[in-house]
Amino acid sequence: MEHDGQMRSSEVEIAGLEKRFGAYRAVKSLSLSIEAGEFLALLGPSGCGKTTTMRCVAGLANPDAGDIRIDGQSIVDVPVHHRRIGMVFQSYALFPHMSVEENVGFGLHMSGVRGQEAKRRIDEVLALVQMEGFKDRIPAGLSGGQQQRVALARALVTRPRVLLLDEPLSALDAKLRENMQVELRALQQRLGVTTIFVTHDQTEALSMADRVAVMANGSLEQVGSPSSVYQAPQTGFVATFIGKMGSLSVYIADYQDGTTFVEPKGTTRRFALFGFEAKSWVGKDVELFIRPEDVTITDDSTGLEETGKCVMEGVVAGRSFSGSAATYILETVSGKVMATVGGAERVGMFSEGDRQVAVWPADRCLLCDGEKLVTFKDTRMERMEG
Amino acid sequence: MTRAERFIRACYLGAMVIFLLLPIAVVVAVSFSNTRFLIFPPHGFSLKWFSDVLSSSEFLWPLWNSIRLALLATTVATILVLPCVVALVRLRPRFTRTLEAVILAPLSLPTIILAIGLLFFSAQIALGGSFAALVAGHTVIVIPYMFRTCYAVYIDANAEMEEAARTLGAGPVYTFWRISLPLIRPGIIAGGIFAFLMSFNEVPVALFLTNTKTTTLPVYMLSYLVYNYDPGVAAISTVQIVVVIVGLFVLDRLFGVRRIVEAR
Repeated sequence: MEHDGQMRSSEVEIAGLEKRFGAYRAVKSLSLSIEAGEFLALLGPSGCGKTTTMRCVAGLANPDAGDIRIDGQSIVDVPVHHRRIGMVFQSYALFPHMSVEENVGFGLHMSGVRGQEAKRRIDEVLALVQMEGFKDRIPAGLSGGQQQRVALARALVTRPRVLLLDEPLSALDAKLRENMQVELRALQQRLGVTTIFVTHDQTEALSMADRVAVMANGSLEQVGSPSSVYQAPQTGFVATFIGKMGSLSVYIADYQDGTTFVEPKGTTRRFALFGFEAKSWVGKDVELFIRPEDVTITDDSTGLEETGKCVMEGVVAGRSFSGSAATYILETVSGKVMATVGGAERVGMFSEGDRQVAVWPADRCLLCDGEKLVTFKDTRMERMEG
Repeated sequence: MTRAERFIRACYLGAMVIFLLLPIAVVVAVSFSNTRFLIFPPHGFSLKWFSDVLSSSEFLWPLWNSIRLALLATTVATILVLPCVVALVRLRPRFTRTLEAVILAPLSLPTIILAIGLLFFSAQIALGGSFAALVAGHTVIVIPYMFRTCYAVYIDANAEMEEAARTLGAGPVYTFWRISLPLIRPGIIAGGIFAFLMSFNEVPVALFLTNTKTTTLPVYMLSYLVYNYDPGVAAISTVQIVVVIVGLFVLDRLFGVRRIVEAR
């Protein structure tokens, strides 16, 4: 919204942030850098400390330890109203006794922008969120989506250094939410404003953010691009929290030359997982995870095991159909495996109660001992060199 | 609605009419009589008693005292209650329950005890017999009414609105003035009506703390009735009723009292 249509963007640095509520540690020594103009999603289940972290950045909560810097300057001692941030709340928190124009103009008034200039900027930002015709309306008379736009306009009009979004889409219905995801992302790209987006909805985080910071129990589990947190999870929590995941209880039977041998509980099968460095886990019971899209369902599995695939038989226990694909749940003696089947002609080819066989490539497996994760690493080159 | 329900409703409404409205109707009717004594049913029709009570300062001065007192007590109570409510709701201090109980204590205390205490206490601090002592006494009595309505309204108010104002650059004082206060306003108006009426009707404290100059209408009517038994009292009562009804009507026009009270 500056003359070149871009906001001056700021970088945010959180260093060793600690927040306690009584004896409870809501945020545990969290460090995270957000680049200028970046759209970062703070993702985690409720109670993981993501909202508390954001409230510390906003100044609505005081950290017990650690530092928060905007463009290199510490802001922990700066009161909320001098931080020059914009925030959109889960409830939108529009002022019920003020018109849309007064709501949006509130921040401008506080920063001393009055008269014609204020009018111009209010018009500009309302146009940006496509709410031009609603200036004189009262918030109570607006739909959820419209209130959301006004709340966004109110937060953006002051040209904040950082835009904080606290689950802003969770109160909208599914269709509207999808539209707003696209719009919000486009708007953020256009303005180039550094944005922190708090959500418990992984689809939302993956589809909107440049980077996703996954939180659990007050700590960061993993920070990375949406595709990396999905495809290369680093902890068991991230693996199961992001996306769907089938899971089998397995026993680590042996390890030889970069190959880990695992036995699904209750079966006589043995998977040879080449490239899995799980030597220290031999003799332990762990979980084997596999993504639904890596699994295929077949009724003829002869000879597949010899080609380095994992094979498990089970009973179809349920399915969910999503239009272009269907995901089947296969109940096996060692746990549940999910398989996504694409293509209209294949959708609906299995029904509940069918005995089928699930097959997946061994290198797509993830092994997890509850915390740590062992994944496939191509070690052939290293071995030859070593 | 079943027959039994209709019957119960009729009984309820009947009791309301007989015990609440009828006595008032009697007073109003008597105030228009032309007899020298309070007689019911009234004889004749005249506005004599109205012109009597409204032309002498005998009743008008206590009426003015009562209005002044009620307005002052309500205002002081509002000023005292608002910071309490904000602190208790937003900060949730450790002794919230206890503090609430203390603030509401005047409700459960016989006002006659408070009156005796205030009588000695105000004399001790050199406020004896002053209007200020009276205002103080009534403020204590009306605070629970103001507190309860404001607290009920504010505890339901969304704290994110105040936080939003803060993130937009408003300091704590401006945020209170521009956001919190408008949010509490329905509570202030509803509580103000209750508080005003409580003070306006209050006898025990006023009985102890007033003198001939500061006497309030209910106290004056009481002492007047001891020596006089004429429809003048009925006439001033009617005036009192009119004052209250007009007051409520004006407030309704300004703020929509019905909506506010129903919302609670």
